[in-house]
Amino acid sequence: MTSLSICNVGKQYHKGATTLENINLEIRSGEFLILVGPSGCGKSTLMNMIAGLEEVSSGQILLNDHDITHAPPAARDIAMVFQSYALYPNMSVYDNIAFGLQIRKWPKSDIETEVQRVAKMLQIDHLLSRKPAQLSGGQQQRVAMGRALARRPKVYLFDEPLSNLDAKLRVEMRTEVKKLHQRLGTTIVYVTHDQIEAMTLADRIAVMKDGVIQQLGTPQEIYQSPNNLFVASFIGSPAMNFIPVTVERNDQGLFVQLSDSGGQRLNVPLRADLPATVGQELILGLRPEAITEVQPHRLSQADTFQGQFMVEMTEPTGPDTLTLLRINQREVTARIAPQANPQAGHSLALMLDASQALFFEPSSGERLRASPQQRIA
Amino acid sequence: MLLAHPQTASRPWRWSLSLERALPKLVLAPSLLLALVCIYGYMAWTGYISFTSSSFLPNYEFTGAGQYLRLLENDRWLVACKNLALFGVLFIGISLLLGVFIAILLDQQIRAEGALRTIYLYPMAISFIVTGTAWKWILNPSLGLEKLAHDLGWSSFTFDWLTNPDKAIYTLIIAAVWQSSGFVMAMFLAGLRGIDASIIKAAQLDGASKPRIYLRIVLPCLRPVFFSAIMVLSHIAIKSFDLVTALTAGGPGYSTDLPALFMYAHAFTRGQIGLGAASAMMMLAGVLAILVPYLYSELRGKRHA
Amino acid sequence: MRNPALHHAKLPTVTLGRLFIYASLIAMAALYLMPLWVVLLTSFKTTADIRTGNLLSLPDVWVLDGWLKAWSSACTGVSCNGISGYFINSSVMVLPAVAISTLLGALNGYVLSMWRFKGSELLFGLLLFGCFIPFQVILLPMAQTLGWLGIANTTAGLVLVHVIYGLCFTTLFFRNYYQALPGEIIKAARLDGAGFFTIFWRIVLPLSRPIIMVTVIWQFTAIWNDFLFGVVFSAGDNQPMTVALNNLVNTTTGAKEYNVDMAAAVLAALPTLLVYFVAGKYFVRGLTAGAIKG
Repeated sequence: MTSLSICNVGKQYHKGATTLENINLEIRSGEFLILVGPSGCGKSTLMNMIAGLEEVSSGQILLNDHDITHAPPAARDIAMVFQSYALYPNMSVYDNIAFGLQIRKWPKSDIETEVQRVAKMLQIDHLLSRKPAQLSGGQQQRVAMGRALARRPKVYLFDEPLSNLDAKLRVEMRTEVKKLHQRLGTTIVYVTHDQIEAMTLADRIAVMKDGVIQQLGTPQEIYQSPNNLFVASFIGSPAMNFIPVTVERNDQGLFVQLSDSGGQRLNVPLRADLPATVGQELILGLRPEAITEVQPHRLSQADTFQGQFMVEMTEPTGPDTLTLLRINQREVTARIAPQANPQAGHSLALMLDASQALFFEPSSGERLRASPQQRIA
Repeated sequence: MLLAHPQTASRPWRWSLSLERALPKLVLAPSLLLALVCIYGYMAWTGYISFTSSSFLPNYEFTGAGQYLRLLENDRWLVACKNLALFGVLFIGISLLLGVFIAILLDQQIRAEGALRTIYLYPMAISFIVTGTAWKWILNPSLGLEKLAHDLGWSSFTFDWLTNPDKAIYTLIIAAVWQSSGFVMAMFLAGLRGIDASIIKAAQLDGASKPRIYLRIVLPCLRPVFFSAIMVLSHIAIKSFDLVTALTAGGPGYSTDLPALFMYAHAFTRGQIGLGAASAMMMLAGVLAILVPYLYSELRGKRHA
Repeated sequence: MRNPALHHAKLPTVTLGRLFIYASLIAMAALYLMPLWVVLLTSFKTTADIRTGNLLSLPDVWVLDGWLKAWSSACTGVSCNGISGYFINSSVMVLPAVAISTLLGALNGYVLSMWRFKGSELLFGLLLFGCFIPFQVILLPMAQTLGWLGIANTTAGLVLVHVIYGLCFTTLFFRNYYQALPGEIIKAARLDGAGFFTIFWRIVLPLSRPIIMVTVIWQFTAIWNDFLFGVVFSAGDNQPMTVALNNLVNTTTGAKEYNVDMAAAVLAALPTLLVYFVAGKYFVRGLTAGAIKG
């Protein structure tokens, strides 16, 4: 069994490029961990440091409690799948998969068996004598994975492996990667900038920005309970709606005010345990699926409101129709059932589920949490 | 299994680590060191010698800038520099014009383009000594072009440039242009092929004529190619030694002398090592005067891009 | 869409333009070929024929006298054994010089592009400068050094000089080529457990075929055609072909035999011309790469 610990790892460049600071990650045996973030957030640097391809400036990397911080890549028993596949152009598919085994001086017959096994598993056994240039993008992708699998390493690193594929193939390969992980139970660290990939594949997601891990958690935690504005806006498509509000008080406690197109006011109460004060400026975050067509059976629930909204634009996606409207003069996206028939220029009665509302502190971007603060680490 | 012997398990790579780390530098070191010593060390050595009064053998006693003063008073050196200026300007100018002209013509979807390209460029594969030998024969005052013209019925034609001190420098230009203009052609053709075809299509839709498109759009795009071509050609001109040796040997008299020839003659046959070294340093200064602004603009351009 | 009359009116001018283009190109081609043609014609003439005919007249009788004499008995300075020995000198010099400078250039380029370290870019820049210096600044100390090493005026000495100053170009070629290879391939190989030399031999070198061709041709042409190093660092029977040709042409004993001169010139040009006609594509690529990237 394999575990990978990244303790206080930092990376400083001479010329002040992306810096990683105090990265702490505990990757459990058999876990599928995804590093996600916009380009330049340091996720690839972190992955290269795990692989041994870049020097670690500070901190430690432990593999099964062995310090591998400064071990050369070859000594780490880690395999990597690259975005560009990085297949050896001069070698056949067979040799591409066998190369690492040859270097490790496996007996010829063992290599043969292993290559065949991996090739069968990935359904590329009919391509073994081809050169990479003769393969399609998807096939090259499989060979790249085969090369990683053949070594049976302790940890697999995937560096945006699906980014170069077209949309349809990407979804197919995504499923395939997930199946592979379920079948083999291997430890995987996977880098992507695609939040859907992150949500669908990961056991846990680490969202990164500017060299810092913003949040680490299961896809559900990250989605439902983002630590800050960045995580909230980065995860989820279409993105969460953000509406600036001011805290007010009435006899039931603290609340913020939203208004629909007709100017009708909806008072959204703040949970009593949130550390807010009257007059405080906050940002209210509401996912598009919290604004829906009116579902009468839910109207009676607490924190649901009904309002009249002017539809500005619609984007049918099939199962839902994304609908643009305004709350507090802010452009907001709602996810509405096509049956409700939203039409641009027409007014529509909609339902807001304020129980899903999140509140963020505008200057720091941090989410308001029930005090005492309990971060999920 | 690994957990049982944490110490020993992690040891093998530690030892090989430093070697593997140092390997790239170790591989690079010998050849690089040799090359750098033989470039910079030797340059410094020559520079030092130019400040001594070395004659047949190097003499390491520092005597100041005397050799440079002698150089500036040396009529032969002044002629060599003047010749280089004339040769350089005409050689570069004509080669560029001819090369660009041929490149543009070749870019018009020409049928036998490959064969023609091969013909224009083959002189570049030949040694300047061979070029000089061939042109020395072609320009031969009695048996060469002159006789050809006479045989064709033009009996008053005389062609004595090789033996005429005022004209001999032009024979160098003819031979050098013949040898190097194909190279300019190749560079510009590569540049022309690199231009986005949609730019030209857009200009055509705007109603621009072919010559106008080339003058106003295409050639301005090839500015960097102009610069590198001038770079290379001026480099050829300053180093020019073989051609002049084979074609005129600096003669008649020293009317076609060039700095490279001057340096060789003084350093290796006339026993004036100090003066030769000073002339070599002057040549280096000349190259730097062209190279440094070029590299500067090149690097700046890259940073802006 | 198009006015048919206008279209027809345009047609003749278009063909005239094409005619002008083809005529110019062919005339230029003839001009470029003329010297080679003259040299070849002259080399097959007798001395008498040369005096009576002109540059472009065909030989009365085609003879090989000039060729035979140039090869085996023409005088080059003091000795009169033709240029055969010098041709062999050049061949013996060019082969190791090209092989060594190419191999070292490949290794240097490999390190400078894929195993960069602090200061490696500076080293490369320093080396690059070597492509530009006028060699006159290193002639004197190099002559001195070769003397100390006891290889002055030998082929070995010339090989050494050509290797050292060829390194600047070969390193530049390989470094720029490797720079363009995807770096992830090297990362993948390192994770596969391959070391410095394994990656070089098994992955990088097999991918280097085009640049090896370019470099070998560039070096071969430069070294075979070199005159400066040949005339400075060699003497007597050890001189390369270019120096011998120059001596032959300038040796004045008796009547000038232009057929011999021309045959010798063709022999001196033959190896590089052959390479050019066989692998011209790589030759051009080397020229433009050396020029633009340099």
